[in-house]
Amino acid sequence: MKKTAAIIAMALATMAAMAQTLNVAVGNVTYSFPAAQAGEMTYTGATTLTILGRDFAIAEIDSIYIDAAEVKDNTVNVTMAEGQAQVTVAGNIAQYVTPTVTGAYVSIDQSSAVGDDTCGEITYTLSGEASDGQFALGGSYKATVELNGLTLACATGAPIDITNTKRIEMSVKKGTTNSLSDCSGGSQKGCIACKGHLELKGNGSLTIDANTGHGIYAKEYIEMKNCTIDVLNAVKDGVNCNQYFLMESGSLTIANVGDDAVQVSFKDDTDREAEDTGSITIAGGTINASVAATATKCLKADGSVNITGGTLTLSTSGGGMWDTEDVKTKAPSCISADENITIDGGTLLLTSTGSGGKGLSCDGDFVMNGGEVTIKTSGGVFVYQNGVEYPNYTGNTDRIASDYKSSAKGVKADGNVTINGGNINVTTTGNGSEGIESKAVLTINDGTVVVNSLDDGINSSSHLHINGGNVTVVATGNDGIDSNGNIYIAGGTILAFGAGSVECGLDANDEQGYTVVISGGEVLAVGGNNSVPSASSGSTQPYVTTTLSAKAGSTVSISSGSTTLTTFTVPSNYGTSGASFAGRPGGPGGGGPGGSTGGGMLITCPGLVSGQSYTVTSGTSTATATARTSK
Amino acid sequence: MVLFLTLGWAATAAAFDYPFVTFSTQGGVAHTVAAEELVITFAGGKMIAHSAQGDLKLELQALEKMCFTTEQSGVSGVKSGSGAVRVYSMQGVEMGTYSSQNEAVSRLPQGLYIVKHDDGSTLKLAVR
Repeated sequence: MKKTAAIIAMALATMAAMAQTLNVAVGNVTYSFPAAQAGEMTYTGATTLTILGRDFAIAEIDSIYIDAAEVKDNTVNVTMAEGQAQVTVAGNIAQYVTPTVTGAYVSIDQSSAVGDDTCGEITYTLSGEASDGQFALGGSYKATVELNGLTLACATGAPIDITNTKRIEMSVKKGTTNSLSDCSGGSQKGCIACKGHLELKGNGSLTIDANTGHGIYAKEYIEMKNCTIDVLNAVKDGVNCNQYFLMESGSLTIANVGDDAVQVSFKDDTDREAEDTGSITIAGGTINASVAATATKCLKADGSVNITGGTLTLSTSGGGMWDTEDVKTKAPSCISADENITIDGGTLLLTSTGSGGKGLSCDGDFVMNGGEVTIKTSGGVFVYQNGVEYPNYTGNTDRIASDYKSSAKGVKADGNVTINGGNINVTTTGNGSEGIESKAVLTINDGTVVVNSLDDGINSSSHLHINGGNVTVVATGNDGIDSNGNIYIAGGTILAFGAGSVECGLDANDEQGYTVVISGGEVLAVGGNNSVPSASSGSTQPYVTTTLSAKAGSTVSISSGSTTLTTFTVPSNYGTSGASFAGRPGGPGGGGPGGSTGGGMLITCPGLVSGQSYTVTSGTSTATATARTSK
Repeated sequence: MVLFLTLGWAATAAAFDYPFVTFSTQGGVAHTVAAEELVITFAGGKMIAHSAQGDLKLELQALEKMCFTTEQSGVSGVKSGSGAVRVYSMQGVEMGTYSSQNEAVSRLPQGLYIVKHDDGSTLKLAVR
């Protein structure tokens, strides 16, 4: 008997736990009220049924039925199908949500009454498949849109069109694949168009096919975390937003776009909110992006670009162009910022193959504090002269104004370049291409810097400081390290190889009265005519010069008696690039395969005593040189 | 026998926290139907509640409200057909066989019962 009672009790307990829901079906929309919440449902005037504050016109109700379906508060489920859509609204928010369904076009007006004091945030979950449909969402309070296995194309606009101006969390649900495609020739700004700020999350995947504008567009910021997003096609940018773009994790792939991969603009140029930085921040995740159109960028910010982590593989293959509006040439760049670029971490592989193409380009400062950066450019010089674009100009560009030409460069900053750490490896092989260039002051405090370039390896328009780090520069067609101001060396290990003849390893602007100032560090500079400290430079660490040449893979050392002060190893690729320097007709040729320079060699290191003789050994050759602190 | 009857009832009406839906019309008249498989439609100025007990039709003009209830109140929704019913107390004791549910309601003392129709369906019945 006890056993029987126990069975009955268990059965009753189990059954009592079942959900109980009253569903009001109005066309393709069902409002689901949990029985426990429904309360008194009132009929008024034989025309209206009111449940939980939601008035239903009785004439529009197809049926009311009760089932055991679970209802989660604050949810709206939208299931797309061919030519139709089904919407289910949780009863507790029925009074705040007004769906309109026409075929597979679902438009939802979220009441302005939605807020912290009423129901709070509503989650809209989209699933199903339709070849012509849309989910449109209005409102003035933040919302979540979940993509839970949605394949949706739209023949008239954006498949997801969010006019809600607040924070929209778009969650790509774990384990789901989702696909969106919009129409061509439409007026939508993106395949996903959002007038608020968009936070992309979840552990699912989403592919975008944008045939009118951008792949993903938000009028305000976009943040991305965890999810996998592939923009496989876009007429304009892959991702376009204002305020800022922040990627914390996840995977973003962008290809076949007509403009930039990711572009961020200021929302307001005159009255900016604190978050309106126009910046791109990559803190983690993986970005694979390629752009091919002229003068396009993989990451383009009106503000700054900050990279603290992640793996970025970015490539540009377009060339330069003449911008009639700005009256200057524009060139492609893997990363471009109108303000600063800062790299604190992450792994970057940047490849640019078009004329004038750059790895990193900013109007402000470039600061590198960490990370691994590899840059390869192979484009030449883009020139605009007399109304004609020259995509790979080979003539003399010395007398062409800067606005009318654009050279390929690994790094180009209109402001200062400061390297405090990390590893950066730059290779430029195109005509007139430089490695790292600052239009202001260039400073290396630490880190590893390797540059193999055709034109200048490291170049500054103002002073150049090296206080630490390991710097190796091989320039096959011009100077290794070239400053239009002074070169200050206070620390670090520096190997700088110029092209030979007059192109040297260290080139301060002697012609304008600048010089080299050495107070520390170890330097091997090889080239035509290295700059040396002037008598008034204040240089304190002595140096020696010889006419010895250096050979790839060999060692160069300096010794006093049996004491070797330091030894350098010449890079194995020195003189082996075979690249020619055609940018300056009549200029020096490359080092040539296995060749060596016929120019001079400058060595400095701690321990040298001015006036003392030292033995310099380069490979199997030796020479004696006397240390001095100025020429 | 009592065990199976009880479990059968539990699997139907008692599966929900609210086994009944009660409609109130003008004058305070309440009409109760089983919530299980209840479907409500509107036609010709009437609300029609389709349930396992049959159809309950109420004039919309007179209808004031409806709500979920845990107990049957007023007159149970009319079971379609006039088949005999067997009535059991909540303790599982058979109270008798009646020609219809209405007859059972009219003859039984106040209390809560389980009614088994000739089609095999069971429901919980409150007689007031």
